[in-house]
Amino acid sequence: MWKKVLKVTVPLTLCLVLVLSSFAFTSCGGGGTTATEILIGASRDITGPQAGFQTYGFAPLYKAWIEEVNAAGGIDVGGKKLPVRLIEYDDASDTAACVRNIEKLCTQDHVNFLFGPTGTAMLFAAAPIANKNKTILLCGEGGATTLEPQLANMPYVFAVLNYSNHYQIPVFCDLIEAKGAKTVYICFMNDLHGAEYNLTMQSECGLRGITVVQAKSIPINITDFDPIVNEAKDLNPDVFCMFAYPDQNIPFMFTAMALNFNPKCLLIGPGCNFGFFPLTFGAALEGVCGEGAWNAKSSAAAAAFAAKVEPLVGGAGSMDWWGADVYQATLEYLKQAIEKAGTLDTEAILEVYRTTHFVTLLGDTYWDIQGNGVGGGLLPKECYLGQIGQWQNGVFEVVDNDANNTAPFIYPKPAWPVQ
Amino acid sequence: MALFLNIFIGGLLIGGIYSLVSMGLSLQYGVARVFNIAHGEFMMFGAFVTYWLQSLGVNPLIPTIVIAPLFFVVGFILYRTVFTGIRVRSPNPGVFESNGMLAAFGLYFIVQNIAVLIWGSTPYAFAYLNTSFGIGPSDFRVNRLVAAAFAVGIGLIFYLFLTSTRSGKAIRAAAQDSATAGLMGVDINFVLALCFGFGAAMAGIAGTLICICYPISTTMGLQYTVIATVIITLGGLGSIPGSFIGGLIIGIVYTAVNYWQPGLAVAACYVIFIILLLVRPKGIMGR
Repeated sequence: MWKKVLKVTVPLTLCLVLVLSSFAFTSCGGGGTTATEILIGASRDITGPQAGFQTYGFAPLYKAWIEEVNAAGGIDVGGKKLPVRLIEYDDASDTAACVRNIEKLCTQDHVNFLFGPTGTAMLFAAAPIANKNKTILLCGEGGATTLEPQLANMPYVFAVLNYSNHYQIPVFCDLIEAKGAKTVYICFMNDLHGAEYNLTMQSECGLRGITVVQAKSIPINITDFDPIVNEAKDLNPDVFCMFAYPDQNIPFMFTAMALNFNPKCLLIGPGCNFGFFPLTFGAALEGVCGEGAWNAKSSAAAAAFAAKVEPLVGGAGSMDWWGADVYQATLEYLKQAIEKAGTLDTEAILEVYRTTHFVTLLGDTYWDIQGNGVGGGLLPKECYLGQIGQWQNGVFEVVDNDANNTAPFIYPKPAWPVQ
Repeated sequence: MALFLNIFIGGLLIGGIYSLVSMGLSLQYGVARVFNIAHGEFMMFGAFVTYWLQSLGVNPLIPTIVIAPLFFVVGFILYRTVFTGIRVRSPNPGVFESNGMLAAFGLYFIVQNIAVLIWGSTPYAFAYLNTSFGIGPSDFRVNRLVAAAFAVGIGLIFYLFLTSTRSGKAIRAAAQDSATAGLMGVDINFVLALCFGFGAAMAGIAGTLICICYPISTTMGLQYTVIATVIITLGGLGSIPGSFIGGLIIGIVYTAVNYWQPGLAVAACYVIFIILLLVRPKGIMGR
């Protein structure tokens, strides 16, 4: 009788112990010093229409940072150095694929942190998934005005890039108002990025009595800008704003030059902030504005970083004079936050993010925590090295008209050079 | 008047390039029965070869002399090795078409990834004849005129080849009924490979012409394959004049809608596509 009972209960007890211990190990995985590595996940456009950002955006910087950290033995977590491992999936610029990837990274790969996907629309889709899975998401390229109110309820999301109402367009409108601009033509891409910049621009113009003569949306696959440039020539605005991506902004520039459309101020971005713009357009870029901005003159640290990062990203053509400085600062902040927390426990690291200033490439760096100190974070205006850039003699000068300025704003821009 | 000129002439200039892209796909799908989803990737490769040569100081129209025969040989060999093998092993033309399309998908990924490895995913552009000329109150870009003139010229030469040479007649016979053409003594494997090769050559030349007008990137191919698919259906599968006319029509429609609402330009092309499938599924010049 007892033999029979033992025959059943011993294996059952062993199974129970195994199951319970596996639960116990799973629940503490990633926390404390039991981990053997720091896992960072990212869903990125390795292929797809926005794949260019893998070359000149956040990706080359975080890859270089991971190499650098691992070369130094890893990040100190409670006295134990842990290497960083990146798990990167391709979303081919498809929002649905991005959402699936983020879900997989959180629930199957159990990453400790997430790096953001590319672009405003992707970020908007990824943030709730990361937040639901209680995984810290450090956003890279993109920034969603419409995400901002939701950050109060998304404590795990930290947006780093400055965007439309997050200082850029108000600063730009102050600049053109001061120069007496009266009319603006807006051309924007029909995605969340374009829509938000369009609405913010219209709103800021309205506040300053500047008339928006046209606001025209364009698709991502547009190639022919003749109709838009011809219409803009007829309307003759003081300022032309092009809120689209490099694949649209480059043909627009060529069309504007060919049809000799030369408004007093031209704001183009994202794209104008990248090093391949001056390589493509040369002297024609003089006086053209873009979102951003920083350059080697912004600070000594910025100068050192610019010199260091240029070979890392593959030369001057891949330099990003909008986001590279804030992406780097995000990475530097993350390392210091993990070291200060001394654990990979997400809540402990979140507490550091909410309360601590660290010195990074940007100088004193901290987070403007939304939702009365319990939500996600945005970088405050004081942390940025600039909001609006303007190409002057081959340098993307900061022209914000404040302490960040590296050159005064040129208005009107010079005529196109003779071709 | 200015708006009409902008739409009509601007549409013809774009349509000329679209026609050339489509003529190649029409040959590959209409005659060789391979729905070559990688057609745009050949075009992209042609564009990047042109970009590379112009960066060495070569006039960007000169590379067509090299690209056309080079791409023809690549296309010819591809058909004789990959697609002929699939055709021989397929029990009927329907199975060949679906297997051929799957192989073309593979080709699409291989070519695009090779290009990404070589040139990355950054957009490239250069200024060539980036000035304008006036017709009445309207201005048009010189590089588009040159590209459209080239495209029309190449289309005409190819049309003459089809109508006045023995090889051209063999291609037309294969387009009408490849099985019967084979029974009449046409070396069908050679003719179909010839068509695929000509299609690849035209894609390469189209890449050169697109390169002088628009920025290029390693991910741009599929967009042009989609436009070409709409055009060859509009013009009639396998019909070179049909592809030419279809390209011009799509160019004008695209430009007209672009003036009104650019976001709807591609949608307008699809509306035409759907109407055509309902009203005349064989296309304008289809039999």
